[in-house]
Amino acid sequence: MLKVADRILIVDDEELIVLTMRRYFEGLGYHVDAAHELEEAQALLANRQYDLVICDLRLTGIGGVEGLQIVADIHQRCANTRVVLLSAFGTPEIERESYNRGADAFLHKPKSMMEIASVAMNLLEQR
Amino acid sequence: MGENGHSKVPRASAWNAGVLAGWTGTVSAPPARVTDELQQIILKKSYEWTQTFDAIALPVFITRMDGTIMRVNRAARDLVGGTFQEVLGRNIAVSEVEPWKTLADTVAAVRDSRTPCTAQIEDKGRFWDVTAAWYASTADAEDRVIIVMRDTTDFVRLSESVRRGEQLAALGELVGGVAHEVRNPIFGIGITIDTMQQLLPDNPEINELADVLRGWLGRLNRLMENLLAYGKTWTLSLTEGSLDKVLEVVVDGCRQIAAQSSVSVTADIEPELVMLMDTHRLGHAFENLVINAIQHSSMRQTVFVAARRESVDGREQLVCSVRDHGPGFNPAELPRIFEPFFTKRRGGTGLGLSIVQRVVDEHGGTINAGNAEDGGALVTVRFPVFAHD
Repeated sequence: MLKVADRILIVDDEELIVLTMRRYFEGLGYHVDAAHELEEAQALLANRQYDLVICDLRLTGIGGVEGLQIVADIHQRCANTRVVLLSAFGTPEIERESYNRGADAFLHKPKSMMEIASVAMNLLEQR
Repeated sequence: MGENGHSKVPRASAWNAGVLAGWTGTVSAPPARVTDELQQIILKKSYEWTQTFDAIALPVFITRMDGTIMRVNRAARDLVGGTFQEVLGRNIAVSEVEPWKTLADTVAAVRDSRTPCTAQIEDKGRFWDVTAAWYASTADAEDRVIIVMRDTTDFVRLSESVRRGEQLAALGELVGGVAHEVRNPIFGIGITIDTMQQLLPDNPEINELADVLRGWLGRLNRLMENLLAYGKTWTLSLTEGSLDKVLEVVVDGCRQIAAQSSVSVTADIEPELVMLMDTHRLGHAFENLVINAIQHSSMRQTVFVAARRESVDGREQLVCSVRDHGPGFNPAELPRIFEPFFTKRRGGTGLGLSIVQRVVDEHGGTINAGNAEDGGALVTVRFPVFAHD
């Protein structure tokens, strides 16, 4: 039976990071969509079922934690979607809070694409 | 003696002080007994004055206007060196170096201005504040200069350390902010290299260059993490963890870095070294130690990481040592290696070891750095093991 490729949503306000991650995951055979801000991500999530969301914690200026909002939304509405949060500013408190809200993984930047992809694949396999 | 046989008051101060109380009535030539008594009192007062003068810990000099030393207390004598006899009569310009140069200048300034003068002296890491005043001598109609020196070395050091602390805190805040922002570009460069390699697999030249780029990125990343760790006030989150697990992760990560310089890392780590720890910070500290050892090793040398449980005086300790076979620590620099920004290595921040010390300290441990008997640097870290309730 033909298996449909998993669909990944990448959310990051840095266009260049989105571009690179999209290339990498497409190279691995996934369908990839991208969003750059909270509202855009929420609109995409409302319209489509994603298997995995890789989301930066901060989507706006200093102190933003929009990623937590996305995690909470997914946790409430899309039980089958796995969420990986990425952050350059993560503290132990934020990491705990992310797991409390339903994140499946919290990665501190910098990480290699291989590390991110390995976490992503493990989560997708567990479903 | 007055012509009517009455003397003047022998010592006004003695009268005023009431020390001759009881000897009242008309002032007349004191009987011999009284003269003896007066001499005794004067001797006693002189002795008291000398003792008091000597008890002053600050060096005090009394000089003529030309700088000739007329009196010194013990502290001043010790500063000049020699006996009282050798010091008296010398000129305050004892030598051309400090503090004597400034003292001679100060005496000259008082002589010329007839006003009190102050000066600060700094010499070979010692600091003095000098105050000089003058008075008209009643003994030989020649004026005198009184010089009091105060050793302010400790005070100066303390204020420097406070100022440095404030500067470091401000610097830390700035650097911490920048380091955070640098994480995103480092991440971006790293994942771009990964993606390029994914597009061009099995290309040995590209793979080699990609590894070189990752090596540079790793260095930039460690530099940044050190700056962050130093700049930030951390709240330690202690949980029960295994030192052996932390060390194994560190050793595995460092093996790749060591391989780039053809250095190998071997480990002899006992299992189940459980302690209360902040896993992230402790891992970062040991990574600093192992990378330091790698960077001081030559090609084909080995860095050795060991950890075990030891019982010292009936108390359990976790002991971890990292040793290399490089040139070792310069003994003259050993006392300073944990100071922040003290580095002799190109590309080093001088923060690595000072962070290690701080983290070890926060875990209630101790750190010792020295050289192994057969050469190479040896750093030993000890943590206490607290009994469980």
